[in-house]
Amino acid sequence: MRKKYSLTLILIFAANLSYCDNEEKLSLYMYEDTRQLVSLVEDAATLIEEKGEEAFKDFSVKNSKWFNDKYYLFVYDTTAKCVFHPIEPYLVGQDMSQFKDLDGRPVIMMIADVGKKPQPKESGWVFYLWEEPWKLPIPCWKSSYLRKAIAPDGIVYVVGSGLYNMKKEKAFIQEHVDMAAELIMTKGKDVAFAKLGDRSCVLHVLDAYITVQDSKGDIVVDPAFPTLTEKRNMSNFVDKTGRNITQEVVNGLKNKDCTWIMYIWPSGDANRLARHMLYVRKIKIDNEIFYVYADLVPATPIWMKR
Amino acid sequence: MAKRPQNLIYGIDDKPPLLILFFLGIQHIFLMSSTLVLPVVLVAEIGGAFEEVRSVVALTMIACGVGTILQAVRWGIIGSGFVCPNLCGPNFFLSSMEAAWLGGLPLMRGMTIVAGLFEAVFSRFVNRIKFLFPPEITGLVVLMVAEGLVPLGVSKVLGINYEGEPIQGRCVLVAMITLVVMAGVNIWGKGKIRLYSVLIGMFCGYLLSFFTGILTSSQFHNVASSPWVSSPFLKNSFRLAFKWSLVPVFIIVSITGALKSFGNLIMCEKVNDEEWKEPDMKRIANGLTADSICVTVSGLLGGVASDTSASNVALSSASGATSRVIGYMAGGLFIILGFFPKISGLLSVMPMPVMGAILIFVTCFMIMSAIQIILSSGMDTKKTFVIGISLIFGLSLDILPNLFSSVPYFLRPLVDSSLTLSTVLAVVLNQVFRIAKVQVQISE
Repeated sequence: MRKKYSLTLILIFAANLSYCDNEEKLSLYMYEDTRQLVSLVEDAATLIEEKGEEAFKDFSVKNSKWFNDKYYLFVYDTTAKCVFHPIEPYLVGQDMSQFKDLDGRPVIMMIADVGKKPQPKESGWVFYLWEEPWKLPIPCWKSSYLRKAIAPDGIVYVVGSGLYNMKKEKAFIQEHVDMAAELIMTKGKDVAFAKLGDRSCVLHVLDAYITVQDSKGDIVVDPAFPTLTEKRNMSNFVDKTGRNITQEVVNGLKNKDCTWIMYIWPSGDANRLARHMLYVRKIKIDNEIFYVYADLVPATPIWMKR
Repeated sequence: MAKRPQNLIYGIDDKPPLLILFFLGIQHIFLMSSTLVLPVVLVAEIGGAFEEVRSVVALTMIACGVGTILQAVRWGIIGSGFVCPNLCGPNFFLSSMEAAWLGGLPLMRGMTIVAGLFEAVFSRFVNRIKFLFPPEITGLVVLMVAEGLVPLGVSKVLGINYEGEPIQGRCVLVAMITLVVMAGVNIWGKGKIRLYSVLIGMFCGYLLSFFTGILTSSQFHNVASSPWVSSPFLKNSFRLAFKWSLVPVFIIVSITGALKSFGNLIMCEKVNDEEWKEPDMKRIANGLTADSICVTVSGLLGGVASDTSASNVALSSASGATSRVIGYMAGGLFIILGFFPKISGLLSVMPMPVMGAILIFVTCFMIMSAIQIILSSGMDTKKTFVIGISLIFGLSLDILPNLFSSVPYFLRPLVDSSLTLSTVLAVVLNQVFRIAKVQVQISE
């Protein structure tokens, strides 16, 4: 009897320790729905790595962990061919490399690209417009987490699942602004600015569009007014507390390349003051300094909702 | 003369043995610590460093400890003599955050002092507005205070922090077991074990939270890096600022806080008097004065404003221990812990389901007391409408908050809290019905 208890305790401890490992991986994210989505896809990838295509049978069982009212999994190969899709089975077997969303994002190629990355357990996020299942055909923002999984027979799959209208994580903003900065550095400002000015650019996260400002405060990539001929100048932008945010960004980035700045601005239906978080990357190209940024309004805890 | 209820193990004037007193104090400080996450969130919101977070949390604890002791004493016009501890509840949170956004911690401190001083003045006039608060309205105030704990309690039980998040099964499981243990000990516990129903439930909850992975080692990271002993005062702790535009907001919050304390102190009276009929306004006024000093001290020291804790009052009722020395012990321990960051940090790492279970447990007692107070007044048609209408509109604010989003700016404070809305409605309706009744009598 005592042995049985000891064994149970050891198993509980082991479960807790493995949970701790997972917790470290998930600590990047603020919100529980994001963490649960990441956990689900990571578990699905592990199952594919163990069972290969056999895992798809498990994924198609309705009302299971893998397929229910909230989640479903999809699997593509690295050529963007759909190999598993429980909601739109007619997609299975189709080459989806030319598929684009309403804004023109090459959604499936973005997914397949995760499988082309070098590491065996690569992962990533894509954000795009997609039809919500069991609803009218209206596209809405979908955030999908993807994980590369190599089956026992060596075939590389990309398994993913997504949530609709998900809350923006700080990690998303930071990663995409960094990628935009990288794009400007590698492709040059003319090519990169044109790309970032395009609404379908894959670097725009949900409705947090990437903006680029020069050292004089002129917005050179302006997602709100992309066709404006005379650039807007933000050097005197003050938030609702009277702080000059542009000046704070410049001062904050004197000795470093990136920073988070908080500012207060009305938000939401009631137009109440809310905290905005601005992630800014400073880059220098052709002896010019640019500030690349995007912002988010962190969610309010549910018990504080009014 | 108050009649001591039979279910009390230690009444207001009793002195429990030191060890029992210590554990009862610990039980209260666990509950008082359950909202210490609010100052942490507030300082983090304005981009404060970890040193600042630690300082503000410690100073809030010290101010709450002072307030708890002052509430338990009866020195002239200060203190109700009840165990009605202070904690950094959600009441002041949004306005404090707005002040901190607009002018940093110095402005938050300055405006907290304004709120405290206003409550001090208000407390001296409470006696004169006794006619506004007949038992059915005081019962309604207690009911709405309890209702205010519902969103926090239920969201913690379900393991949900933000809208759209899924219910966490393991949180529900741990919360339910914790709740069953607390309720079980309270219902069937023999002798003095009932005193520790919350402590026993919490112990089970912490253990289960560890085994189910809700409580992880990473949560203790900041605790581990904190020193054992440290002064909570930083160089700029005492800087103050003031902004006229924030005065109305802080006055409204101060009144809401006073109303909440009003409800809590009535609950204290009810718990300690089996034959309670109507509020002892002098005692309540003295209690509000103690509360106002606590708020002012919070501002002066550099902590976040606090108000009296409904859950701690309900805990006294549930455990059957209302001795005022428990207030001294809890307050004293809270002050001391303000100088021991490691221990205070440990207290503030309370797993969500444990916090939820405690809040649900104590809210049950508050709701039943409120209903008893309302019904004790002997209901008639007039009172039915006063309570019914006020309750309906108060609850509608919590159920459908967007309905009130287009309310003109000057009326916003009225619809900022269901407690304020239902109390104001009840007071106004009661007076309207009284005047109408007098006019009918005159015309007859």
